Amino acid sequence: MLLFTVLEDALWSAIVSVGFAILFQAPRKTLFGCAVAGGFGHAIRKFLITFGMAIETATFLGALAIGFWALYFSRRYKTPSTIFSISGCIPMIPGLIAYGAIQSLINLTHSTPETGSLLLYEASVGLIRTGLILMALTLGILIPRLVFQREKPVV
Amino acid sequence: MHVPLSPHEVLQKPPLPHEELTDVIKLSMWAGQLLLQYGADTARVEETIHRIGTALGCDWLDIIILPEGIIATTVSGVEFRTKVRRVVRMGVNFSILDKINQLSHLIVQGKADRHLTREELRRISDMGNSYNRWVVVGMVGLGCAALCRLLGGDFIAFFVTLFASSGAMFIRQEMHKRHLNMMIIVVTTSFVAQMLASVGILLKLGTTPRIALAASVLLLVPGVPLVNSAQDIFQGFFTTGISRAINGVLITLGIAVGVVFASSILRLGGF
Repeated sequence: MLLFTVLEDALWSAIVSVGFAILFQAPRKTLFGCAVAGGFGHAIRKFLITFGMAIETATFLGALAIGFWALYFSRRYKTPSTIFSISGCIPMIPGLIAYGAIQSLINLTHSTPETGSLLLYEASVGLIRTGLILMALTLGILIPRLVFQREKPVV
Repeated sequence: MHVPLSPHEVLQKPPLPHEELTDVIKLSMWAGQLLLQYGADTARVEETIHRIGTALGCDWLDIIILPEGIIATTVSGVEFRTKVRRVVRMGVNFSILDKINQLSHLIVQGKADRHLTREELRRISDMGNSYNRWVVVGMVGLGCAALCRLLGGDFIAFFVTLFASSGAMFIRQEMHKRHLNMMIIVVTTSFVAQMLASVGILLKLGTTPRIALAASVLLLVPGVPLVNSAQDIFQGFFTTGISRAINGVLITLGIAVGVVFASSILRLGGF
Protein backbone atom coordinates (compact mmCIF):
# COMPACT_ATOMS: atom_id res chain seq x y z
CA MET A 1 0.00 0.00 0.00
CA LEU A 2 2.78 2.41 0.98
CA LEU A 3 4.74 1.33 -2.09
CA PHE A 4 1.75 2.10 -4.28
CA THR A 5 1.31 5.58 -2.75
CA VAL A 6 4.98 6.42 -3.24
CA LEU A 7 5.01 5.13 -6.82
CA GLU A 8 1.89 7.10 -7.73
CA ASP A 9 3.51 10.16 -6.20
CA ALA A 10 6.67 9.61 -8.26
CA LEU A 11 4.60 9.27 -11.44
CA TRP A 12 2.72 12.55 -10.93
CA SER A 13 5.84 14.48 -9.98
CA ALA A 14 7.70 13.11 -13.01
CA ILE A 15 4.87 14.51 -15.17
CA VAL A 16 5.15 17.88 -13.41
CA SER A 17 8.92 17.98 -14.01
CA VAL A 18 8.60 17.15 -17.70
CA GLY A 19 5.83 19.73 -18.14
CA PHE A 20 7.96 22.49 -16.65
CA ALA A 21 11.09 21.32 -18.48
CA ILE A 22 9.15 21.82 -21.71
CA LEU A 23 8.02 25.25 -20.50
CA PHE A 24 11.71 26.12 -19.99
CA GLN A 25 12.51 24.77 -23.51
CA ALA A 26 14.86 22.07 -22.18
CA PRO A 27 16.51 19.97 -24.92
CA ARG A 28 14.66 16.75 -25.78
CA LYS A 29 17.54 14.53 -24.65
CA THR A 30 17.24 15.90 -21.08
CA LEU A 31 13.52 15.26 -20.54
CA PHE A 32 14.07 11.73 -19.23
CA GLY A 33 16.62 12.99 -16.71
CA CYS A 34 14.23 15.72 -15.53
CA ALA A 35 11.49 13.12 -15.02
CA VAL A 36 13.77 10.84 -12.98
CA ALA A 37 15.16 13.66 -10.82
CA GLY A 38 11.71 15.14 -10.13
CA GLY A 39 10.00 11.80 -9.51
CA PHE A 40 12.74 10.57 -7.22
CA GLY A 41 12.96 13.73 -5.14
CA HIS A 42 9.26 14.08 -4.44
CA ALA A 43 8.81 10.35 -3.79
CA ILE A 44 11.56 10.48 -1.15
CA ARG A 45 9.83 13.43 0.49
CA LYS A 46 6.47 11.62 0.47
CA PHE A 47 8.07 8.51 1.97
CA LEU A 48 9.75 10.46 4.77
CA ILE A 49 6.60 12.47 5.56
CA THR A 50 4.60 9.24 5.88
CA PHE A 51 7.03 8.23 8.62
CA GLY A 52 6.38 11.46 10.49
CA MET A 53 9.30 13.63 9.44
CA ALA A 54 8.72 17.41 9.32
CA ILE A 55 8.00 18.65 5.79
CA GLU A 56 10.95 21.07 5.81
CA THR A 57 13.55 18.38 6.63
CA ALA A 58 11.95 15.93 4.21
CA THR A 59 12.05 18.59 1.49
CA PHE A 60 15.73 19.18 2.14
CA LEU A 61 16.54 15.47 1.84
CA GLY A 62 14.43 15.08 -1.30
CA ALA A 63 16.11 18.11 -2.84
CA LEU A 64 19.53 16.65 -2.03
CA ALA A 65 18.55 13.57 -4.04
CA ILE A 66 17.53 15.83 -6.94
CA GLY A 67 20.88 17.61 -6.72
CA PHE A 68 22.80 14.34 -6.97
CA TRP A 69 20.67 13.07 -9.87
CA ALA A 70 21.24 16.39 -11.63
CA LEU A 71 25.01 16.00 -11.28
CA TYR A 72 24.85 12.46 -12.63
CA PHE A 73 22.72 13.42 -15.63
CA SER A 74 24.78 16.54 -16.34
CA ARG A 75 27.87 14.34 -16.73
CA ARG A 76 26.04 11.72 -18.74
CA TYR A 77 24.50 14.14 -21.24
CA LYS A 78 27.29 16.79 -21.05
CA THR A 79 24.88 19.62 -20.33
CA PRO A 80 24.41 22.16 -17.48
CA SER A 81 23.13 20.51 -14.29
CA THR A 82 20.70 23.38 -13.58
CA ILE A 83 18.41 22.04 -16.33
CA PHE A 84 17.72 18.94 -14.25
CA SER A 85 17.75 20.51 -10.80
CA ILE A 86 15.37 23.39 -11.59
CA SER A 87 12.87 21.21 -13.47
CA GLY A 88 13.16 18.55 -10.78
CA CYS A 89 12.44 20.83 -7.82
CA ILE A 90 9.20 22.27 -9.24
CA PRO A 91 6.94 19.47 -7.83
CA MET A 92 8.08 20.35 -4.30
CA ILE A 93 7.21 24.06 -4.35
CA PRO A 94 4.80 24.84 -1.49
CA GLY A 95 2.01 26.16 -3.73
CA LEU A 96 -0.98 25.32 -1.55
CA ILE A 97 0.63 26.66 1.64
CA ALA A 98 1.56 29.96 -0.01
CA TYR A 99 -1.92 30.25 -1.52
CA GLY A 100 -3.58 29.73 1.86
CA ALA A 101 -1.25 32.21 3.56
CA ILE A 102 -2.01 34.95 1.05
CA GLN A 103 -5.72 34.24 1.36
CA SER A 104 -5.57 34.68 5.15
CA LEU A 105 -3.45 37.80 4.80
CA ILE A 106 -5.96 39.47 2.47
CA ASN A 107 -8.90 38.40 4.64
CA LEU A 108 -7.33 40.34 7.50
CA THR A 109 -8.48 43.57 5.83
CA HIS A 110 -12.08 42.99 6.86
CA SER A 111 -11.94 41.05 10.09
CA THR A 112 -12.83 41.72 13.71
CA PRO A 113 -10.13 41.52 16.42
CA GLU A 114 -11.42 38.04 17.33
CA THR A 115 -11.32 36.49 13.85
CA GLY A 116 -8.29 38.60 12.94
CA SER A 117 -5.93 37.02 15.46
CA LEU A 118 -6.65 33.58 14.03
CA LEU A 119 -6.15 34.84 10.47
CA LEU A 120 -2.89 36.56 11.43
CA TYR A 121 -1.72 33.33 13.01
CA GLU A 122 -2.59 31.29 9.92
CA ALA A 123 -0.96 33.81 7.57
CA SER A 124 2.29 34.02 9.52
CA VAL A 125 2.59 30.25 9.93
CA GLY A 126 1.94 29.80 6.21
CA LEU A 127 4.45 32.44 5.14
CA ILE A 128 7.17 31.16 7.48
CA ARG A 129 6.56 27.61 6.33
CA THR A 130 6.69 28.66 2.65
CA GLY A 131 9.97 30.47 3.23
CA LEU A 132 11.52 27.54 5.09
CA ILE A 133 10.48 25.01 2.45
CA LEU A 134 11.81 27.21 -0.35
CA MET A 135 15.12 27.61 1.48
CA ALA A 136 15.39 23.87 2.13
CA LEU A 137 14.63 23.25 -1.53
CA THR A 138 17.25 25.61 -2.97
CA LEU A 139 19.91 24.58 -0.44
CA GLY A 140 19.25 20.91 -1.16
CA ILE A 141 19.72 21.22 -4.90
CA LEU A 142 22.73 23.57 -4.59
CA ILE A 143 24.83 21.70 -2.05
CA PRO A 144 25.73 18.69 -4.26
CA ARG A 145 26.76 21.04 -7.03
CA LEU A 146 28.82 23.35 -4.84
CA VAL A 147 30.57 20.44 -3.11
CA PHE A 148 31.14 17.96 -5.92
CA GLN A 149 31.32 20.03 -9.09
CA ARG A 150 34.25 22.24 -8.19
CA GLU A 151 36.31 23.19 -11.17
CA LYS A 152 39.63 24.91 -11.12
CA PRO A 153 38.72 28.61 -11.00
CA VAL A 154 39.62 30.15 -14.33
CA VAL A 155 38.80 33.75 -13.59
CA MET B 1 53.43 25.14 -9.23
CA HIS B 2 55.51 26.91 -11.83
CA VAL B 3 55.89 30.58 -11.04
CA PRO B 4 56.69 32.76 -14.09
CA LEU B 5 59.93 34.66 -13.58
CA SER B 6 59.56 37.46 -16.11
CA PRO B 7 56.62 39.08 -17.91
CA HIS B 8 57.92 37.62 -21.18
CA GLU B 9 57.50 34.12 -19.87
CA VAL B 10 53.80 34.76 -19.15
CA LEU B 11 53.11 35.70 -22.75
CA GLN B 12 53.33 32.26 -24.26
CA LYS B 13 50.64 32.94 -26.85
CA PRO B 14 51.55 35.00 -29.91
CA PRO B 15 49.89 38.44 -29.78
CA LEU B 16 46.73 38.60 -31.90
CA PRO B 17 46.35 41.01 -34.82
CA HIS B 18 43.95 43.92 -34.21
CA GLU B 19 40.91 42.65 -36.10
CA GLU B 20 41.28 39.19 -34.57
CA LEU B 21 41.37 40.65 -31.06
CA THR B 22 38.20 42.63 -31.82
CA ASP B 23 36.58 39.47 -33.12
CA VAL B 24 37.49 37.45 -30.04
CA ILE B 25 35.89 39.91 -27.63
CA LYS B 26 32.82 40.21 -29.83
CA LEU B 27 32.29 36.44 -30.04
CA SER B 28 32.96 35.60 -26.40
CA MET B 29 30.63 38.36 -25.19
CA TRP B 30 27.95 37.29 -27.65
CA ALA B 31 28.01 33.81 -26.08
CA GLY B 32 27.89 35.36 -22.61
CA GLN B 33 24.98 37.59 -23.55
CA LEU B 34 22.95 34.61 -24.78
CA LEU B 35 23.67 32.69 -21.57
CA LEU B 36 22.70 35.60 -19.31
CA GLN B 37 19.50 36.26 -21.28
CA TYR B 38 18.24 32.71 -21.24
CA GLY B 39 18.69 31.79 -17.59
CA ALA B 40 22.28 30.73 -16.80
CA ASP B 41 23.80 31.47 -13.40
CA THR B 42 26.48 34.16 -13.24
CA ALA B 43 29.41 31.81 -12.57
CA ARG B 44 28.60 29.89 -15.74
CA VAL B 45 28.41 33.10 -17.81
CA GLU B 46 31.75 34.32 -16.51
CA GLU B 47 33.48 30.97 -16.98
CA THR B 48 32.16 30.53 -20.50
CA ILE B 49 33.26 33.99 -21.64
CA HIS B 50 36.70 33.40 -20.18
CA ARG B 51 37.01 29.93 -21.67
CA ILE B 52 35.98 31.02 -25.17
CA GLY B 53 38.19 34.13 -25.08
CA THR B 54 41.34 32.34 -23.97
CA ALA B 55 40.73 29.38 -26.30
CA LEU B 56 40.44 31.76 -29.27
CA GLY B 57 43.89 33.17 -28.52
CA CYS B 58 43.70 35.87 -25.83
CA ASP B 59 46.02 35.88 -22.84
CA TRP B 60 43.48 36.98 -20.29
CA LEU B 61 39.98 38.41 -19.85
CA ASP B 62 38.56 40.55 -17.06
CA ILE B 63 34.79 40.21 -16.89
CA ILE B 64 32.13 42.02 -14.86
CA ILE B 65 28.61 40.65 -15.03
CA LEU B 66 25.75 42.96 -14.13
CA PRO B 67 22.03 42.25 -14.26
CA GLU B 68 21.72 44.68 -17.21
CA GLY B 69 24.84 43.82 -19.13
CA ILE B 70 28.38 42.52 -19.40
CA ILE B 71 31.63 44.51 -19.34
CA ALA B 72 34.78 42.72 -20.45
CA THR B 73 38.37 43.43 -21.41
CA THR B 74 40.50 41.07 -23.50
CA VAL B 75 44.25 41.24 -23.23
CA SER B 76 46.67 39.94 -25.83
CA GLY B 77 50.31 40.92 -25.59
CA VAL B 78 50.39 44.68 -25.09
CA GLU B 79 47.05 45.24 -26.82
CA PHE B 80 43.66 45.22 -25.14
CA ARG B 81 40.03 45.76 -26.04
CA THR B 82 37.13 46.68 -23.75
CA LYS B 83 33.49 46.30 -24.65
CA VAL B 84 30.10 46.79 -23.00
CA ARG B 85 27.27 44.54 -24.04
CA ARG B 86 23.73 45.33 -22.98
CA VAL B 87 21.51 42.40 -22.00
CA VAL B 88 17.76 42.44 -22.49
CA ARG B 89 15.87 39.98 -20.33
CA MET B 90 14.01 37.61 -22.59
CA GLY B 91 13.11 34.63 -20.47
CA VAL B 92 14.26 31.05 -20.11
CA ASN B 93 15.53 28.73 -22.82
CA PHE B 94 17.54 25.75 -21.61
CA SER B 95 18.20 24.52 -25.17
CA ILE B 96 20.32 27.60 -25.82
CA LEU B 97 22.33 27.00 -22.63
CA ASP B 98 22.96 23.43 -23.77
CA LYS B 99 24.06 24.51 -27.27
CA ILE B 100 26.45 27.21 -25.97
CA ASN B 101 27.92 24.70 -23.52
CA GLN B 102 28.66 22.31 -26.39
CA LEU B 103 30.08 25.12 -28.53
CA SER B 104 32.44 26.27 -25.77
CA HIS B 105 33.81 22.73 -25.41
CA LEU B 106 34.35 22.53 -29.19
CA ILE B 107 36.28 25.81 -29.10
CA VAL B 108 38.45 24.65 -26.18
CA GLN B 109 39.26 21.40 -28.02
CA GLY B 110 40.35 23.50 -31.01
CA LYS B 111 37.61 22.11 -33.26
CA ALA B 112 36.04 25.51 -33.92
CA ASP B 113 37.90 28.63 -35.03
CA ARG B 114 36.44 32.14 -34.88
CA HIS B 115 34.66 31.86 -38.24
CA LEU B 116 32.92 28.61 -37.31
CA THR B 117 32.14 30.09 -33.87
CA ARG B 118 30.47 33.09 -35.46
CA GLU B 119 28.34 30.87 -37.70
CA GLU B 120 27.35 28.67 -34.77
CA LEU B 121 26.43 31.65 -32.57
CA ARG B 122 24.32 33.10 -35.37
CA ARG B 123 22.54 29.75 -35.69
CA ILE B 124 21.96 29.50 -31.92
CA SER B 125 20.59 33.08 -31.72
CA ASP B 126 18.11 32.37 -34.51
CA MET B 127 17.15 28.98 -33.08
CA GLY B 128 13.79 29.98 -31.61
CA ASN B 129 11.74 27.57 -29.55
CA SER B 130 12.44 23.85 -29.68
CA TYR B 131 8.84 22.88 -28.96
CA ASN B 132 5.65 23.64 -30.84
CA ARG B 133 3.55 26.15 -28.90
CA TRP B 134 0.63 23.74 -28.60
CA VAL B 135 2.90 21.09 -27.10
CA VAL B 136 3.94 23.69 -24.52
CA VAL B 137 0.31 24.63 -23.80
CA GLY B 138 -0.71 20.98 -23.35
CA MET B 139 2.28 19.91 -21.29
CA VAL B 140 2.15 22.94 -18.97
CA GLY B 141 -1.55 22.25 -18.41
CA LEU B 142 -0.79 18.61 -17.69
CA GLY B 143 2.06 19.60 -15.37
CA CYS B 144 -0.15 21.89 -13.29
CA ALA B 145 -2.88 19.25 -13.23
CA ALA B 146 -0.37 16.70 -11.94
CA LEU B 147 0.65 19.24 -9.27
CA CYS B 148 -3.02 19.47 -8.32
CA ARG B 149 -3.01 15.69 -7.73
CA LEU B 150 0.18 15.99 -5.67
CA LEU B 151 -1.46 18.67 -3.51
CA GLY B 152 -4.36 16.31 -2.83
CA GLY B 153 -6.96 17.22 -5.46
CA ASP B 154 -9.41 14.66 -6.86
CA PHE B 155 -9.73 13.80 -10.55
CA ILE B 156 -12.39 16.45 -11.19
CA ALA B 157 -10.00 19.08 -9.82
CA PHE B 158 -7.33 17.51 -12.07
CA PHE B 159 -9.36 18.24 -15.20
CA VAL B 160 -10.38 21.72 -14.02
CA THR B 161 -6.69 22.57 -13.49
CA LEU B 162 -5.77 21.09 -16.88
CA PHE B 163 -8.34 23.35 -18.53
CA ALA B 164 -7.46 26.48 -16.54
CA SER B 165 -3.67 26.21 -16.83
CA SER B 166 -3.70 25.41 -20.54
CA GLY B 167 -5.97 28.40 -21.18
CA ALA B 168 -3.77 30.67 -19.05
CA MET B 169 -0.63 29.43 -20.82
CA PHE B 170 -2.21 30.20 -24.19
CA ILE B 171 -3.01 33.76 -23.08
CA ARG B 172 0.53 34.12 -21.71
CA GLN B 173 2.04 33.12 -25.07
CA GLU B 174 -0.22 35.56 -26.91
CA MET B 175 0.84 38.42 -24.63
CA HIS B 176 4.49 37.38 -24.91
CA LYS B 177 4.22 37.57 -28.70
CA ARG B 178 2.95 41.14 -28.39
CA HIS B 179 5.90 42.12 -26.14
CA LEU B 180 3.82 43.25 -23.19
CA ASN B 181 5.48 44.28 -19.93
CA MET B 182 6.54 41.29 -17.80
CA MET B 183 4.50 42.27 -14.73
CA ILE B 184 1.35 42.82 -16.80
CA ILE B 185 1.78 39.36 -18.31
CA VAL B 186 2.15 37.77 -14.86
CA VAL B 187 -0.86 39.50 -13.31
CA THR B 188 -3.11 38.85 -16.31
CA THR B 189 -2.08 35.20 -16.61
CA SER B 190 -2.71 34.55 -12.95
CA PHE B 191 -6.08 36.35 -13.18
CA VAL B 192 -7.13 34.28 -16.23
CA ALA B 193 -6.05 31.04 -14.54
CA GLN B 194 -8.17 31.90 -11.49
CA MET B 195 -11.24 32.84 -13.56
CA LEU B 196 -11.04 29.58 -15.53
CA ALA B 197 -10.39 27.44 -12.44
CA SER B 198 -13.31 29.02 -10.56
CA VAL B 199 -15.61 26.93 -12.79
CA GLY B 200 -15.05 24.16 -10.26
CA ILE B 201 -16.29 26.28 -7.34
CA LEU B 202 -19.18 27.98 -9.18
CA LEU B 203 -20.59 24.68 -10.51
CA LYS B 204 -19.71 22.84 -7.27
CA LEU B 205 -17.70 20.18 -9.12
CA GLY B 206 -15.98 17.53 -7.01
CA THR B 207 -14.87 17.83 -3.41
CA THR B 208 -11.62 19.80 -3.76
CA PRO B 209 -12.24 22.80 -6.05
CA ARG B 210 -9.97 25.05 -3.91
CA ILE B 211 -6.93 22.91 -4.70
CA ALA B 212 -7.64 23.40 -8.41
CA LEU B 213 -7.64 27.17 -7.80
CA ALA B 214 -4.26 27.03 -6.05
CA ALA B 215 -2.66 24.66 -8.57
CA SER B 216 -3.79 26.53 -11.68
CA VAL B 217 -1.53 29.56 -11.05
CA LEU B 218 1.58 27.47 -10.45
CA LEU B 219 2.63 27.74 -14.11
CA LEU B 220 3.92 31.20 -13.18
CA VAL B 221 6.18 30.05 -10.35
CA PRO B 222 9.54 31.90 -10.67
CA GLY B 223 11.66 28.77 -10.27
CA VAL B 224 14.55 29.84 -12.49
CA PRO B 225 15.09 33.35 -11.01
CA LEU B 226 14.89 32.09 -7.41
CA VAL B 227 17.24 29.11 -7.84
CA ASN B 228 19.71 31.16 -9.89
CA SER B 229 19.59 33.93 -7.30
CA ALA B 230 20.46 31.52 -4.49
CA GLN B 231 23.24 30.04 -6.60
CA ASP B 232 24.69 33.49 -7.42
CA ILE B 233 24.61 34.67 -3.81
CA PHE B 234 26.29 31.46 -2.63
CA GLN B 235 29.09 31.94 -5.13
CA GLY B 236 29.64 35.59 -4.25
CA PHE B 237 27.89 37.33 -7.16
CA PHE B 238 25.74 39.57 -4.99
CA THR B 239 24.66 42.12 -7.59
CA THR B 240 23.08 39.63 -9.98
CA GLY B 241 21.92 37.44 -7.09
CA ILE B 242 19.97 40.21 -5.39
CA SER B 243 18.45 41.52 -8.61
CA ARG B 244 17.28 38.01 -9.49
CA ALA B 245 15.80 37.57 -6.02
CA ILE B 246 13.86 40.83 -6.42
CA ASN B 247 12.65 39.62 -9.81
CA GLY B 248 11.41 36.36 -8.25
CA VAL B 249 9.65 38.14 -5.38
CA LEU B 250 8.00 40.59 -7.81
CA ILE B 251 6.65 37.72 -9.92
CA THR B 252 5.28 36.06 -6.77
CA LEU B 253 3.57 39.30 -5.75
CA GLY B 254 2.18 39.60 -9.29
CA ILE B 255 0.64 36.14 -8.97
CA ALA B 256 -0.94 37.17 -5.67
CA VAL B 257 -2.38 40.35 -7.20
CA GLY B 258 -4.02 38.34 -9.99
CA VAL B 259 -5.46 35.89 -7.47
CA VAL B 260 -6.91 38.65 -5.30
CA PHE B 261 -8.43 40.45 -8.30
CA ALA B 262 -10.18 37.31 -9.51
CA SER B 263 -11.44 36.36 -6.06
CA SER B 264 -12.88 39.78 -5.35
CA ILE B 265 -14.71 39.82 -8.69
CA LEU B 266 -16.12 36.34 -8.20
CA ARG B 267 -16.80 36.90 -4.48
CA LEU B 268 -15.30 33.51 -3.71
CA GLY B 269 -15.87 33.51 0.06
CA GLY B 270 -13.43 35.56 2.04
CA PHE B 271 -11.84 38.21 -0.13
